[in-house]
Amino acid sequence: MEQNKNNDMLLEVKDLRTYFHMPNGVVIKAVEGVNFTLKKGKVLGIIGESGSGKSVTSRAIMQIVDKPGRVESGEVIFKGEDLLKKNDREMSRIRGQQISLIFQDPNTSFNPYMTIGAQLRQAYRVHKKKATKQECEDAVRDALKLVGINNWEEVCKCYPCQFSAGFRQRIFIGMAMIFKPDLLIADEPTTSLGITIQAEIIQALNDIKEKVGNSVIIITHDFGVVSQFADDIFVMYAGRCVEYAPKRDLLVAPRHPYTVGLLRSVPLLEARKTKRLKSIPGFPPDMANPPKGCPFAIRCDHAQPKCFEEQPELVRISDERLVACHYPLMDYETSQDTQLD
Amino acid sequence: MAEPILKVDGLKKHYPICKGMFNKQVATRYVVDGVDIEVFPGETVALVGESGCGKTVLLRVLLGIEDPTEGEVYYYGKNLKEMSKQERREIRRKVQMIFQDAASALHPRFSILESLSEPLILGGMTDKAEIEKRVCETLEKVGMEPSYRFRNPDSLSGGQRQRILIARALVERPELILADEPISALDVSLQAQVLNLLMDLQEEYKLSMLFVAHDLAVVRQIATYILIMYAGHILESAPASEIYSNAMHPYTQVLLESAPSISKGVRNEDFNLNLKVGDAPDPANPPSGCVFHTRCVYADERCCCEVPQPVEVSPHHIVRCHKAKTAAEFAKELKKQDAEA
Repeated sequence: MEQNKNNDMLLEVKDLRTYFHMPNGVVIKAVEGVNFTLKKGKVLGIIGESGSGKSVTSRAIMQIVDKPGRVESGEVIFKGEDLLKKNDREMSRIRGQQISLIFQDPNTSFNPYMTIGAQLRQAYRVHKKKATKQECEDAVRDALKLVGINNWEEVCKCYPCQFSAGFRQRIFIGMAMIFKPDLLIADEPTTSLGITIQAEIIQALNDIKEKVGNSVIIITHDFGVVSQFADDIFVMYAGRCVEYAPKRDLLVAPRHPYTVGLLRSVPLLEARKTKRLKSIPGFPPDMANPPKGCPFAIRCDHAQPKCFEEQPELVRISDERLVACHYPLMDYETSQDTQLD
Repeated sequence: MAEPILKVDGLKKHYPICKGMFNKQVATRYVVDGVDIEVFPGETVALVGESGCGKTVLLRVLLGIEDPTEGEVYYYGKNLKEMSKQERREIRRKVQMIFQDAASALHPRFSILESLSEPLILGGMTDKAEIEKRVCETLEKVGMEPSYRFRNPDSLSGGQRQRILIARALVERPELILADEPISALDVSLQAQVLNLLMDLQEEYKLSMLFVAHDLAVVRQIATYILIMYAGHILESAPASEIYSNAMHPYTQVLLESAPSISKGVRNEDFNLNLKVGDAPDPANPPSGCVFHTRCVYADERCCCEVPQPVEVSPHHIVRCHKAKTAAEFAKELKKQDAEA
């Protein structure tokens, strides 16, 4: 990606690689060279199937990759500084205060034995050790009000189990936003929730972004979520970025055959021209033993001999669009499949 | 019209909440509270509702795993309660279930062959060669190599396991399949594969299906008739095309609005959720009057105290709502605005 050093750049990830060195000697290449940039106040959606390396990417940015995983190489430039060069102490100051992470499952992200208020205060005290009671109280109030919880005093006295999953996720987002971080990484924030609750959570994230002006990376396998929320979309397959484009372009005119396949297979509310959904045949490759050429070649309808030999680089095809494909589909439009009005 | 394969009449399932030393019943959980369903041969009825609305309990009652508190279940015109053991066994063969979580629905120590031959053995087949032949045929039908029969479930991927579950339901050549969110645990690209598979098999075997899902986008391709369930009640039921073009109940409209939509993302629209923030009611303490009034934006005094009766607004389109007309008009107005914009 280009060397854009202007001030509104918040995060720049360059050639990030994260491998898992299993005890039996197998190396699983979960993230194999990921590049992207994120501007201030923007939302980046990372979409991919399970096992494509989405979560590992987010963990590598936060430097919390579990063993035996290791960030092998690359740069994660956050506000002009490389996070991969920071030591543990510097990193823990950044985590929570400047970058925070929301997990998928709101049931396991709270301590069941502590009240909501105590957990939020604790989260605040981690970084502000000398905070007075009043400061803590104010921070907790602001955080909960930010996510639309106005009866915050009552909520604080309750235990996590007293709330539904959707409400707990709301509180958790509040907790992640307690220091108003510049970057919020949401790892499948709505996957375990019902559909109306999912819409509410996305709305809450949108409201927060408007009030605080933070950037968001949203990781999901659901096109509905990203198409509603993200500015740019980043499609990940087998540890690599296969397509990167502004939302509208990606949804209307995808260029990579994998993106086309994904979009075709999403069950949609819109009427389709054919009764059957078009699915992608086969399965994602084994990351312990990735194929030689393009990782998508064996599942791709358009694959040519070159695809099995040579790995395509991520190349710029227009101002804002990048594709990793030898033969991108330049004239495909989604309206060929759906009856978009 | 032909006789329905499955007819459910005023079904209720309540669970007692017991407390104290003598397990005195202190309250009741009204999980399913008056549901009517009819499934005709060759039809796919979709039951759509969010988590916790009683879908799974309903299926358990239909299968005879649990007895209903009130109401009747008829298969081929015969009451499930009055059936002899022999007849019940016969019904269980003709009515098969596909479970949601493929990982826990298969015995981890059984090979696929053992798992798939179990229903055949219970059904009275004794010839081992014949059983194996049937298992291989069924595996091929669901798009898997017959050699997979010697594998164990833990060596299969999620999509493959889901296929095995479908194969297990099909191996007895059933007439009705009860599918409990068969694709919600799968990745997007696999969802399409499994939905296509179900549609193909349905055509081939003239199956009827009761398909449970939590969002309306998933059933768009497959359903012929749709029931909308909320807090143990059916709020709206109509032929599929009616639901998508002419939804009357405010809750159906919310479900439609919150489903993933690419065209909305393309137009950069926000959700237009006509819903009060909140959760589905607690089944132990259901609201008076209409169950949806606590979250409905159209609700007035009448909705709070009077239970709405079913009204047939057009053939087979049944709504339970006092405010259906206002809501439908409002939805139409919105659509008009959309079209103009």
